[in-house]
Amino acid sequence: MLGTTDPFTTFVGTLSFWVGAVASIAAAYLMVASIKNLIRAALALTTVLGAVAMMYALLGADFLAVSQLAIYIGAVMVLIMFAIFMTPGQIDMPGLVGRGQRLGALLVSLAIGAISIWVVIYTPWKIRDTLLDIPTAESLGGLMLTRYVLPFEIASLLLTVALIGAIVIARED
Amino acid sequence: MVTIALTILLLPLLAFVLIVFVTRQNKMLSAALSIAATAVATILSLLVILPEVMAGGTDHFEWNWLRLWPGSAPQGAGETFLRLGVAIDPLTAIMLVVVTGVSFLVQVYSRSYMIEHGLLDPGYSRFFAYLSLFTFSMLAVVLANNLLFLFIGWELVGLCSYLLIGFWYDRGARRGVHLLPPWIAAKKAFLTTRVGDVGLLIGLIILWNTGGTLQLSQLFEQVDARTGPLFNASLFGQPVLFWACLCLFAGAVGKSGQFPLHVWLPDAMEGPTPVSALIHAATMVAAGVYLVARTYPLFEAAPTALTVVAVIGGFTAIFAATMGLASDDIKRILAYSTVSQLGYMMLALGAGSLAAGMFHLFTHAFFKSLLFLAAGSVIHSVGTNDITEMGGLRKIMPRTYWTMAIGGLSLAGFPLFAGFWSKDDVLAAAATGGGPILLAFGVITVFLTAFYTFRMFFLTFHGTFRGPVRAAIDTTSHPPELDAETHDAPLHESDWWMTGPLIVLAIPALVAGFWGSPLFDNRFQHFLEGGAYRDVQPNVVLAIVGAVLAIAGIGVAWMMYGARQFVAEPLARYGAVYTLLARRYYIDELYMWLIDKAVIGVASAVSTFDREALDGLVNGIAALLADFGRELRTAQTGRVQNYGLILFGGVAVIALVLVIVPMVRP
Amino acid sequence: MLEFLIPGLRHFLVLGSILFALGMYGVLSRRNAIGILLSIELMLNGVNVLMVAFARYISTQQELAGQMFAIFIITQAAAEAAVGLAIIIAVYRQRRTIQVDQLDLMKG
Repeated sequence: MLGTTDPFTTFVGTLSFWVGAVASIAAAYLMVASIKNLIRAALALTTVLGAVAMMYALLGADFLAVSQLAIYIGAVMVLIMFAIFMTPGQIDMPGLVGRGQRLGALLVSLAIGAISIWVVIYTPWKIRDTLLDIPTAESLGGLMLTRYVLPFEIASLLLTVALIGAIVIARED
Repeated sequence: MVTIALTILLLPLLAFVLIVFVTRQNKMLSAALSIAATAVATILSLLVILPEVMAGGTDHFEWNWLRLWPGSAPQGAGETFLRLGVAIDPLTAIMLVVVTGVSFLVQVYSRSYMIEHGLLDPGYSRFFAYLSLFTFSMLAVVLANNLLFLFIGWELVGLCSYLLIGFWYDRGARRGVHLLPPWIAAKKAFLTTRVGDVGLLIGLIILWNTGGTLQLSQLFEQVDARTGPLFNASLFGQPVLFWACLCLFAGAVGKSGQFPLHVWLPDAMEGPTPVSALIHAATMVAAGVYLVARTYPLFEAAPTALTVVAVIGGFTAIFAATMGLASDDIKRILAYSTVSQLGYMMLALGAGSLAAGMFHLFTHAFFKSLLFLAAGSVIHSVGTNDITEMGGLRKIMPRTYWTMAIGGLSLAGFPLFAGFWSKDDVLAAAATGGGPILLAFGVITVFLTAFYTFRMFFLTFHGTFRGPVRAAIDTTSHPPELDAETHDAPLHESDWWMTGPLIVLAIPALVAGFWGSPLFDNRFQHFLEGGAYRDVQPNVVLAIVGAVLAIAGIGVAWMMYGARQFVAEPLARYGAVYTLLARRYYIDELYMWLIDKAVIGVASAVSTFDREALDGLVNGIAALLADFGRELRTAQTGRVQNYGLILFGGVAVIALVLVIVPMVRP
Repeated sequence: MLEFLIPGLRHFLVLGSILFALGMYGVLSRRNAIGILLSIELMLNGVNVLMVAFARYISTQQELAGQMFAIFIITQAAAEAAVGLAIIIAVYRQRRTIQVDQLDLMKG
């Protein structure tokens, strides 16, 4: 959607972007650094996932946005919720991790974050002339069965194995 | 002739090997094997080698043994090999006869000696094996024409001496004071001779380094010229050759029991009597004398060394004779006598007469081994070594009595017996080449020798029996019947296996001297030295003095011990002096003190150093590494997050590097 | 100023990087295993954003490669979450705890 010259579209897109960005970053920060209750942390993650879906939409990946909502929020988060319910009483106190560890984590993540941002901003990206704004479902489907058929098959195998594995591991004997 | 010599050399070795590996269980067969091997060797020596050498033949043979790394032989070396070899000349021929003959007779004697109350000694086979091995070793020493081979034999002889002295290895010390268990006596013997052997080895090294060879013929050539590297001045202004000879003589001092390394011989008597007869009378102790004789040209070229030899020999002769006066042990008296007579031989050699020394060695071998075997016969019958508990055996053991009398007269130097002629030669040599003091020592020793020998003889055989009461049967039947209560055999003459060799030995003890006496033109000396022997006018004065002193000594001994009943030791009235002699001048105590302070002191210091410093160092390093490992282990926390931190930290570093490097170095 | 506000490639990339970094911090510092899993999901999403942004703005040859990437990442994330949670549940049954600093059997 972005890249159009229509001012209204641009305005809506800009606003959505900034709202979504702030929301996701804030939610992400809360999730990792300050929420103690796991369920609330999971909900914060859900917020991030939703914001990311919106980013996909802004980037013209319509199929991906919907899949994100359906799979991530609809399935994975539910799964996580179930797991949280099945392991009750575990509050996470981030502050109880060893101080050295926390400091190291902070430094490392700051370093990687800083380096990434620095690289991203200062690299002279060659941006393409025309931006695609087409529905992607059909294209993705076609690609998946021609060019990306191998990853597709492997992914399905992976899912099967994961399914069976998860059942085996989590079984009550 | 070389093949015959090698056969003689190897037959006893073969017997040893067969006994050890094949016939050990069968005791009598082992004995027969050993005796047979030695008998053949004796026959070959006596009837083949000796006549051939007397007709003027000599021979030699060398064999390259080890090849030395090129360049490792000393400069001017004549050979790049370590070689072994044999040589046959008059000296060798005489020694062959002595060694094989005495060894044979001793082994025949042992067949019965090693039987105690009708039971074979449990180590019977082992005994004959050792005797054969010893015979082989001694023959190696005698036949060697190369100092290396001689040294090998020398060491083997020392080993056999140790094995044979300590033959009864599980016995404790005999009843009495200051007596050692056989195994300690064996150690003492070995270690004391070892001190000498170190000297010998150093001598060999000096000769090898300076002279470049250990081959006797080559060494003699070098020495003949009286110039060369061996004659370069060395320490204290003495040439290298002097030091080499001195070191060689050190080995002789050890093996021949000269002062100051004489301390092992008296205690070596703890071994079986045949061993004493063979090794410590006739052969091994003679090896020291033989060594000097063999390397005589070297000594002649270093006259100072000869002086040392003569001084030590002369002093030892009188020194040991004094100790023989104060001993009550029949074998010990003979041991001191051996040391003393060896001193005579060294004195003769040192005074410049090779022939006199070897002549005395020759006769001494016969009469001393005879005396020892006879003493063994007495011990075997009576059960004790102590002459104060003997007496009155004259009628009971006639064969032993008469043969021992012959041996004793020969030792004392009674006129016309073998010992008289050889001792006279020694005194003559001392007179011309030894100086007045040494001559005086030699002359006084004649008297002392006669005295202590016949003191022993009279106390053993004359008078009445002083031991515990036993049935004394004048019988020569064998085996005697044991007393029902005390299980002692009644006093008896030994059987023919034992008395036969005594009789055989008595013959040369009587007549062997004539071979070298002036009455028969000194044939022995001429044979030995060839053209080098200068016919000298026999010193009649010395001969008469010697004879008189010998008879006087016997006479005094008769008056003090033979004519009256023995109640207490008459000499003991010289309290302090007597004790000094009886305690062997306290030299053993001195050596033990020295060893305690020096050797053990150093050893414990080194041991402590090893334990504390070296082990501490090694253990310390190990502990250090263990601690280091323990510290490292703390990085393995088991927590995934820690590992993850390190992982991502590494990624961050790599990312940093990837970003920064293109900036710095485009 | 206005140009800065309009989202372009760089905005999305920065957003993705921030999410990734935050996720990493969470992985390394949370004690609860499920919390770590949540942080992992966050990291994956950050990467997905980057992928899709590249697909839109940069790729000229295989134009939808980034989106394909993102789809497969989502798939994989789902499978991983399933198995991971199964393991967490199994561990919880054994040890009654899923605090990762108490799961140090490999210590030493």
